[in-house]
Amino acid sequence: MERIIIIILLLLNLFLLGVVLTDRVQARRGENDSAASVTEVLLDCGVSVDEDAELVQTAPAKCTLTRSKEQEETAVQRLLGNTSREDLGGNIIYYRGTQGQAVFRGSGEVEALFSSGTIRTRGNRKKTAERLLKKLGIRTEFIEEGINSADGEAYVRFCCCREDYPVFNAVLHLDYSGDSVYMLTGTRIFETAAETDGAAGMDSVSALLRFVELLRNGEFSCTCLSGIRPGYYLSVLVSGESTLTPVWQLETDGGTLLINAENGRVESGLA
Amino acid sequence: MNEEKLRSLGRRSLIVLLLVTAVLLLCRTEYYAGLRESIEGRRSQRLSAAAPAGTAVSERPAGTVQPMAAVVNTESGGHFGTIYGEEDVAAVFQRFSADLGEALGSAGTPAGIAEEQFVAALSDCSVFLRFYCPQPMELLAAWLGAEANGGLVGCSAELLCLSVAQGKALLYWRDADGNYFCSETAASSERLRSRIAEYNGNGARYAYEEPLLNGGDSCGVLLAGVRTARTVRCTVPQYSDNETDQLLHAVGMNSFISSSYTETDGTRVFVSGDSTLRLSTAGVLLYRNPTFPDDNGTMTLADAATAAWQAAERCAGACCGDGTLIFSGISFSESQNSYTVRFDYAVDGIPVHASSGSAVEIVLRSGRIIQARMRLFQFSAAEETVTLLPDLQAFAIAAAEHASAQLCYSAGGETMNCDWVKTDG
Repeated sequence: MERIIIIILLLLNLFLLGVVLTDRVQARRGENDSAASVTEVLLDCGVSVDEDAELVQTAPAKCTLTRSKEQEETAVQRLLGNTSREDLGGNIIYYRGTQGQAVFRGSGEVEALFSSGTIRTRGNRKKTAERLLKKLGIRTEFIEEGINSADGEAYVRFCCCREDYPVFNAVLHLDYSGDSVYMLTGTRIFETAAETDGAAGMDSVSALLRFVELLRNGEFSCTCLSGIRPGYYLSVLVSGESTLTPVWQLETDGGTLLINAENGRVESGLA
Repeated sequence: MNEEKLRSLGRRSLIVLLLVTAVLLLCRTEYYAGLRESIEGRRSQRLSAAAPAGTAVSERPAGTVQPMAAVVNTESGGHFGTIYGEEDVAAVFQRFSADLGEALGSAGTPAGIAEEQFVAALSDCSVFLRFYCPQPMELLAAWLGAEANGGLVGCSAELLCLSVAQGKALLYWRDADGNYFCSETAASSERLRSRIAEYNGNGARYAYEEPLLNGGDSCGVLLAGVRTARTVRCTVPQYSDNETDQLLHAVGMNSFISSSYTETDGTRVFVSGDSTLRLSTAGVLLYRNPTFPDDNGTMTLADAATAAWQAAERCAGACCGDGTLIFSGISFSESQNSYTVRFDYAVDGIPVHASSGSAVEIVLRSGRIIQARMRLFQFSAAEETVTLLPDLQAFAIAAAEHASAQLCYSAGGETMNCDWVKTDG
């Protein structure tokens, strides 16, 4: 009896494996067809597509993040040492610690000034900055490093991330003075996920068709699309509560474009 | 024997393993994904149909916080103005809502100022907002996620201006009595300045910039171009049994245990314990619950406004078609320990004026609705538009009588037309 059951289950597993593999092959074929179609449409509009561009992707789900002042205070203490806290009203909190001072706002903005020499670069500015931001509990993605033309000092910029997706307009800027970090400014994302909307928004093919519409209407012009990637756009309508809206970032030789995955609108305010 | 037992154990383990792998493979098939989506879709439909009435006080009534007009005043002296139901009103307000919340929460002690100082702020780097009615500032702050600074409690603002001057963010406002005030805030002046810089002028101007309009409201907003409005049909909505149940839930009545009857004039009456809801054929909803709550609990202004809005949205707001509900006032009665919250309708952002007073009036005590009166309307806006008097002419006529001008739909018949009316400004 057990042998019969094993045989039946084996056949069932083989059947389901066949179904799964067939689904995968069909899905891959469908993706390739979609990619080919959209490439053709773009070529018709005079836009070439980079070979490495991954044209078929899905967008993340929209989510709401809220500020947790307790977690924020813990993170600030990791950064600045023992801190005193002053509520300035309007959800603006001022922290003063042994290693500097900081202002955290309900809009997500942060300004921190570090005492001279407390955060030294140990050879690599980018790694030093990453360690500093890790203390704040923020996952980040490196954007660039460079030299300020005004004072000749170095800076590094990072973009906040939520579940491996970049939040394109939540950018943190670290300024160096000599070999130590002296200032952190920018916008962070909040700590606590309040809810996630199940709907993920339009996929990359739909976003590219929206891009084609913009090209045809003359609202944007370029000759080459080098890449498309999903991410988030941060908006704070109510102090202490932020919404991460899924967006598509299109990198072209005419500039970078953010297309809202919910309504197809071009988002502004890209940092 | 041991070998037999081991073989049997091995077979059973294999059966379990094959079952597990079969389930895992099933979960990866398209059939399962479709089934899951269908179940989740049905679940969310059931949840939305059974939404509890007025319990989620933490929800912020974004729609009622909408200003009537929003103007971004750039550093170069240009004005990006938008008024009534244009999408840009909501977009501008949302762009600066977090800054406004910060400003309201961190404002210092208000200082009385002259009208000229308020007008001067409109000429510089600032954002101007005009609301449909004077907004209690603690309510506005609560809706924007902040707690109004003590100095602002009890203050109300019909006009607000958030300005950047000398490296500071300043909050200016005019109250219902026409007095002007200013407070320093801890809002970020740099962020405010950079956001204001995103806008360019669109030809909007203030009344004080037009010599013809001397004597009227100096802060009236005039837009360039032709002024049009849609013709609107106004009817009494007809309620199905399901929709009637939702009305009952909205005011806290249980449709399952309510009894109902119809009076000779067609008025439907629902009774549950001491609560009574009357729905007339003319679209008048009257609810009374004379039972005084025993807990003598306290309710904040924001909680009362939010609970009232949720009930109003589920009743009047659910059936108003092309209309929307706008907050039109709140008052507190110390003797009754109750709040009275009022709402009106708007179509395309243009308020609907009814001669019989506010469209919706809800009285709350200790967290419960004890009385509600609602005029239920369904609005259908036609595609064709009517051309109205240009802004400058309308304001000039009003200024001659030391008044301001505002667009308004007048409710009274089945077809509503939009026209300019004189207001106190």
